[in-house]
Amino acid sequence: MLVLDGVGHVYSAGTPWAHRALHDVNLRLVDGSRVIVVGPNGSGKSTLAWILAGLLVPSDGRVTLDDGPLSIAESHTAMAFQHARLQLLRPTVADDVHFGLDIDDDAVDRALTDVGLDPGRFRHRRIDELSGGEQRRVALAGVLARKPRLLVLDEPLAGLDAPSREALVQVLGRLPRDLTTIVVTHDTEDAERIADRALVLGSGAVTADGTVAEVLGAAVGP
Amino acid sequence: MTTATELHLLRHVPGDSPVHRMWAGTKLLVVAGVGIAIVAEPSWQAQAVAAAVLGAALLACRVPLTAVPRPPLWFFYAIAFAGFLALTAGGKPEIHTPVLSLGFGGLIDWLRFTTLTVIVLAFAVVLGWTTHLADLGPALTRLFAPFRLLRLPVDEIVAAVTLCVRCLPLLVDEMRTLYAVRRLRHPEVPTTLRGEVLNLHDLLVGALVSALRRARELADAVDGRGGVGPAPRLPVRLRLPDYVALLLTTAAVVLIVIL
Repeated sequence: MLVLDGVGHVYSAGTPWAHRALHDVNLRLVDGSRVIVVGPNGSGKSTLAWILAGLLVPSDGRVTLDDGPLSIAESHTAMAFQHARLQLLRPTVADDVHFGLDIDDDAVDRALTDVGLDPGRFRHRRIDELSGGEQRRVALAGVLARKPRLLVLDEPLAGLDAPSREALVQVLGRLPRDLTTIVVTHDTEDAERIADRALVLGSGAVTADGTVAEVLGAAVGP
Repeated sequence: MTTATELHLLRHVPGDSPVHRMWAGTKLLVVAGVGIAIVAEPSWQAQAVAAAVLGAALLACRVPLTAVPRPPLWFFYAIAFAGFLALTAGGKPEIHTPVLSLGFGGLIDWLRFTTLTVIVLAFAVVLGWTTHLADLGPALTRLFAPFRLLRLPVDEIVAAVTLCVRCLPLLVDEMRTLYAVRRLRHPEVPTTLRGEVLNLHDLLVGALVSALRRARELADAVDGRGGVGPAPRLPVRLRLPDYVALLLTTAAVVLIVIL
C-alpha cells in the first residue's frame, strides 16, 4: 500500500523564491488502484506526480510503500512525462525499450504489444519517424518493461488526435491489474475508462476525493 | 529519494531598491562597461575597482543573502583541481627549498582569472535579480539604435537575444525533466568512468535534441506571426539612481584604464 502522510512541498525553500505548492496531502492507495488527479494550473498536480514518482522529497510529511521508503533505485516507480520525446533516449524503438534493462528481445516485443504497437512494424523504426501518439506509447512500453509497482502518467492524452487518443485510452484500460496507476491530467473526458478514483487538487490541497462518478460526475456524465 | 535540483538562472527577486528602479539599459551599460574594462585590463587593481562597484550594487539592491546561488560541492572541487594544475605550470615568483622548488606564476594567473570570472558573473546575477526579463528587449533596442546607421539588423539581433533569454527557464525545465527521466529509467549510479561518460552522453544528446526541437518550434511560431517585426521602442525615463550608476561606472572605467 502506498501511503502519503501529511505531505507538503515548498519549492526553493529558504530563498526569496520560496513557494508552497502542496500542503497536507493524505492518501492511501492499495495495490492496483487507478486514480485520476485533476485540478487547475498551479494546483500542485505536477508536484504531487513528482513526489509519487520518487523524484522529489516532500518538504513535509512522508511517503511510504508497504511501510518502507519509496525507492527509484529498486524500480518501485515509473513516470511517463507529457513530452514523450524527452523520455526517449535511444535512436530506435527497440533500443529505447531495452535502455537500462537486462531483458531479451521477446520481452521488448511483449512490451510493445502491451501498448498496442506491432513489434514487426515498430521494432526497428527510428524514434524521430514516429507520430506524437506513437512516441508516447513507446515511452510507456519503456516504463512498463521495468515492471514498476507504481506508474505515474503526466497528461498522457494532451495534444493527441482522436485515433491516437482512443488507442492510448485502450492501452491504459489494459494495464496490469496489480499496477497502481496515477494519471495527472486536465482532461476528464475518458476518466471513467482509465480510473476508478478521482482526486481534485486546488491551491495545493485535496479538495475532493471519491469515485470518478462522484467527483467528476458532472464532467463525465451524459 | 533525492531532491530535484532547482536552478535559478537570471531569476528576478521582487523589490523596490534603487537598482530595481533603474532602467534596464542602465544596468546593461554598467555590466558591459565594467565587464569589458576588466577583461581588457585584468590587473588586481582593476578588479578591486570593479569589485567596489559590485559591492555598491549589492548593497543598493538589498537582495537577501538567501538568493545567492549555491553551486554544488563538485564545482568547488573542479575549481580547486584547476588551481592545482595551474600550480604545476610553475612560473615566477618561485620558492626554492632544499627538497622542492615551486613557481606560483601559473597559480596567480589562475587566481586572477577566477576572480575576474566571479566578478563578471556576479554583475550578471545582480542584473538578473533586479531586472524583469521582459524589460531587456526594449532596453536593448534603445542601446543598439545607433547601429541602425550602419544598417545592422538591430531588430533581428534584439529578437534573438530576447528569445534566448526568455527560453532559459524552458531549457532549465527540460533539463530537469531529462535528468528525472535518466534517473527513473537507469537508476543505477555509474561507478566507472565509462558509465559516467555514457550518462553524460545521454543527457547531452537529449538536451541537444530538445533544444533543436524548441528552436524549430519557436522559429515556426515566429514565422507564423509574420517574422520578428520591429522591436518595441518604449520611452526611457532615467532617474537619479540611473545617473548615479552611470557616473560611478564612468569613474570606475576611467580608474581601471589609468591603473
